[in-house]
Amino acid sequence: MGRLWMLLCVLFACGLARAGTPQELERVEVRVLSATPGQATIDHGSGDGLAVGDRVVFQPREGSPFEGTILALDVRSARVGLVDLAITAAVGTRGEVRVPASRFAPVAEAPPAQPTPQQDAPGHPPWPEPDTWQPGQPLLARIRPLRPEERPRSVHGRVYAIFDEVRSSEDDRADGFYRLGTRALVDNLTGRGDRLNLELEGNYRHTDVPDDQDESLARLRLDRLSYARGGDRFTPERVEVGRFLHFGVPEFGVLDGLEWSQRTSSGQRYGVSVGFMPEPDAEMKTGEDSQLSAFYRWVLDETEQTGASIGYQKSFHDFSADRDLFVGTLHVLPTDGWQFRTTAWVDLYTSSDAAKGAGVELTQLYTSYGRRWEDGSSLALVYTHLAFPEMERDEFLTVADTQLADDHNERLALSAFKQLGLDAHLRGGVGGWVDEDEDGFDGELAFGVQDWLIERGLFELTGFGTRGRYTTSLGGRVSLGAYTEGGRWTVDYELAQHHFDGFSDDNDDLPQHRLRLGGDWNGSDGWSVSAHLDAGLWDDENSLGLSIYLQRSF
Amino acid sequence: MKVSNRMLTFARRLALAGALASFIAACVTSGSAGVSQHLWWSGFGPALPHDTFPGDCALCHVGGDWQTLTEDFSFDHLAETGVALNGSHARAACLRCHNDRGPVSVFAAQGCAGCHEDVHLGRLGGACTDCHQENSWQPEGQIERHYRTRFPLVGVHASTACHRCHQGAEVGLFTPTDTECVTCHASDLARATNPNHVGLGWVDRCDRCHLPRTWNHAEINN
Repeated sequence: MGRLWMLLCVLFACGLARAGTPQELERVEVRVLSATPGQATIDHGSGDGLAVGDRVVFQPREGSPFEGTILALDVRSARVGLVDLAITAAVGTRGEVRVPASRFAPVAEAPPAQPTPQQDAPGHPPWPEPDTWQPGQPLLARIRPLRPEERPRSVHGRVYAIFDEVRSSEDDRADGFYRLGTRALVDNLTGRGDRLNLELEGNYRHTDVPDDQDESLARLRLDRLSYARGGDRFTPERVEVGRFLHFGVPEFGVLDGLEWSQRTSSGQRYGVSVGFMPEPDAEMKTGEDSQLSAFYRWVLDETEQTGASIGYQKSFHDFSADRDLFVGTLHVLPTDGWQFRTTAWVDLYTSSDAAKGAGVELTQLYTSYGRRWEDGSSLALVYTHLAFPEMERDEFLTVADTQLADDHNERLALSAFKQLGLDAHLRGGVGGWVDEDEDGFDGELAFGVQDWLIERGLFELTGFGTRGRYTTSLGGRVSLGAYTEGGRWTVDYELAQHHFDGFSDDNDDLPQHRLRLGGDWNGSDGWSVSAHLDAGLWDDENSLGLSIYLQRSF
Repeated sequence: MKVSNRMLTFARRLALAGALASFIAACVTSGSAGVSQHLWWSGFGPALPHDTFPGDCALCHVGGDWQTLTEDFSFDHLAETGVALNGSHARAACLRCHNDRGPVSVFAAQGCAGCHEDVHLGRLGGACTDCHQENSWQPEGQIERHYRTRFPLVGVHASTACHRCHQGAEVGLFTPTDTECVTCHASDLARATNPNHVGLGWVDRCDRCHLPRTWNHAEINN
């Protein structure tokens, strides 16, 4: 408190001094780059108008403001001696310096650059004037982001092939799914900071169906093909056209159309979109559903760790009014602290919605609250609410009107991870659910040991129980895995006893064994492979699943 | 006319599949370097602040060529920045994160969704690591995850393709999903003619006779 009074007195004195000086002052915002007790290095220097002797007032997130004086500086940083030598400023702490406006008048009046010894690159001449970075010049030059026209075009992405096959003993049933796809992002396509995004997949599915005709289907699905421009640090206006996921409110889904958005100087963002909505399934058929939407996104500051958004989407099915959807989000995500995140989907119904009737309904809600500690321990509380929205759009398997009207599912779950020293941990969770007819719960507790049996390995024992809608299950799992030079491997064995609730026959218990082998391998040339083998055994039946994922990044 | 349409559809699919295969083949066969993580090109510009780096440039740079880093170059991202890069992230090109969009700390604070598109449309929340890990895009542990729902995967359900119940599974949408048997088994019900289920009015409460031990066999519930 005394320190605060002293600071206020100093500020008051500064104010008096300023009142007595007709000189106009400019405010320069600074941040702490590094600090030791009593000293701090800030991210602005002589190139920003600062000079030795300037007073810096820091505004930490927590605690009282404190101040210091610039002791030495170069073009882009300065060393500040703090008044209170006991203070160690946190990296990132904001501050401000009031400097005479006359320093900004002609460039020639700016103090010359004085590189510190640390920044001298051996064998190289001093850096030229600030903000004159040229290709080929070492990176120790003044930090300045390249403008899009100064950057080359680049292409990133991946191609992948996936083989999934599941066979079960009953009537030699089999389900195969084979996929070949790519994702490519061409960045700075025309030198204007624009991007071309492509995601394409061809796949073939074959299912042996006993007692009926087998199902085979080959599909080519275009997931994304869009051109986007703006939205980077230089261009607050952003436009995207083509097939893409909504940028402002991803909850609105994939769009065949156009989205425009604008970012304000304070980081807020607003925008609108228009276009068709591909059906969210294996085909992504488009043309039946269209939409108009608008959104506004608010952020507390430039860190965007606290923010909220609201969006409205009016959709049409065969050009007839279909769904009025509001989506709201709120997040508070401090880097070191409790994090809160929630998203709500709210439907507005009219009298033409036969199952729901006129009114407003919270269709879906996802809320989480938790934190992670430095030692890896974590705690999270999650609440979800689900109900079927009434709409003409084909988005989920058909349900009856009574289900549309009544069905819902609430779930509250708490999960935790506790690091026990360096080599052991406890992991667990409990959850409960309630729907229109029943309720149930689940729980899981695991104990794991690192580097016990195998170097860089993990051994874990897990026990779990579930009371589901139709079954009550109790089981355990033992897992062993290890990280290797280029990937990792895992082995899991699980035994669970399932009890079919409400089935009064003696045959209402089902023990089920599962064995799972998995491995990931990553090569240095961009190739990566994942493979999983999953075997199940219950009663006289068994199943075997094999999944292979091959990818090349480029 | 019907045959003509089918042929047209087939030809169109064949052409698109050919184009896809050609594109992928071109991507796979072009060059062999994969992702160039450590070959810094001056055109990328000074994306990373160097002001806290050691003064001895030769620790990272080769000779007078500022663009090429030493073969044994390594950057301890965890030690230097406090952020660990695991799995595929450790092999990603630096500019995938450090780029024009703004300070990477802003996006990192948002978690996975700060950089990755949320194909689940927010419906599964922000705990991506419940299903995904950092070595591969392939989700895993879905049977274990189902133990934390009201519909554990028991018997034949544990060996069933996701899309059978989750219509949007191929594009990442899993909700809402109904747990009534008939919602997923409507076609099975329609062809159950011995005895004729629909004719007898057996159109709900399938679990009175059927258990997920097998797909077809019924059992008597005393």
